[in-house]
Amino acid sequence: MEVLKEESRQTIEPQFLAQAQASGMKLRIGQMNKTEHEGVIRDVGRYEINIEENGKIVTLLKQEISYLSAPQPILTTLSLSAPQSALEQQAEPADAAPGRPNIQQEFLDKAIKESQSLTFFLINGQRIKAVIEAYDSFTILLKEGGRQHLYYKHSITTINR
Amino acid sequence: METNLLDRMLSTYLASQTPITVTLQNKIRVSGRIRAFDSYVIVVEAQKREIVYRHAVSCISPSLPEDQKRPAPAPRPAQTRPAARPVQTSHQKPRQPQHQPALSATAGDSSINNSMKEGLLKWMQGQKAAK
Repeated sequence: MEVLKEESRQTIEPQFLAQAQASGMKLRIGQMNKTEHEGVIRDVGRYEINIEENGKIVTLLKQEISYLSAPQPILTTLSLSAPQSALEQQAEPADAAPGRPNIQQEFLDKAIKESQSLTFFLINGQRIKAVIEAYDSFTILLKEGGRQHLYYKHSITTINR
Repeated sequence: METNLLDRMLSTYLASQTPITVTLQNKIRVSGRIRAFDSYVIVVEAQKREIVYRHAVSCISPSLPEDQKRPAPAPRPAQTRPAARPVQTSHQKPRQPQHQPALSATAGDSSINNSMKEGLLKWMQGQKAAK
């Protein structure tokens, strides 16, 4: 279990993967085409992940991963919400025109701050109800029951309150 | 974080000639050994050579022992045996009987495939043996 550091807050995904790899925890990994894998992360690349499943190294492409699910929390987020939004604003000024509201960021920050339970609809039709803990450019960290999930935004279609 | 983990895995599989299974986005599995790859495609070779676009790949894993023995569609001579165009022959004026095998052999030459040809051949041999 790792407490997020101040300077690396906007990068949830690499930290999650690195911690999951270090802990040797068995993760459940769902793919866009609804196939599921269960294994331990062995290598983390920029666009793909190697997991060990039944003694075999399986290469999964991140673009095809919908979520990674850990039985226990891998990252703990302490007092995140306010400073994180400041960081995010610094991190992505290029695509955000000045004075334009960043709707996604506002929505997610508010949900984090108020620990709202959100409903996520995925591309493959699945629906998840969970509490959002943190997010970065490409992923959202969710808490559901005792489990912690890392969902890739590319697999999400809509978020409802 | 490695920037080309997939390239490394592919070159390992290429060097060791491990039988692998490539699962595509639509869950189709392509099994075989890697013959070659570049930044966009992977050439997988089993009985035939297949070019797989890397953008369509979802997962790459070493083949399970049973993986490659998926039941291949058995050739069905019974289905290929009947004359290809019964309707057409009835529409048109009666043909000479010896024309019919030639018609069925040449009709739809683009759609006739090897298994159909084999089935037809098997059937013809069977007929010959029956006489």
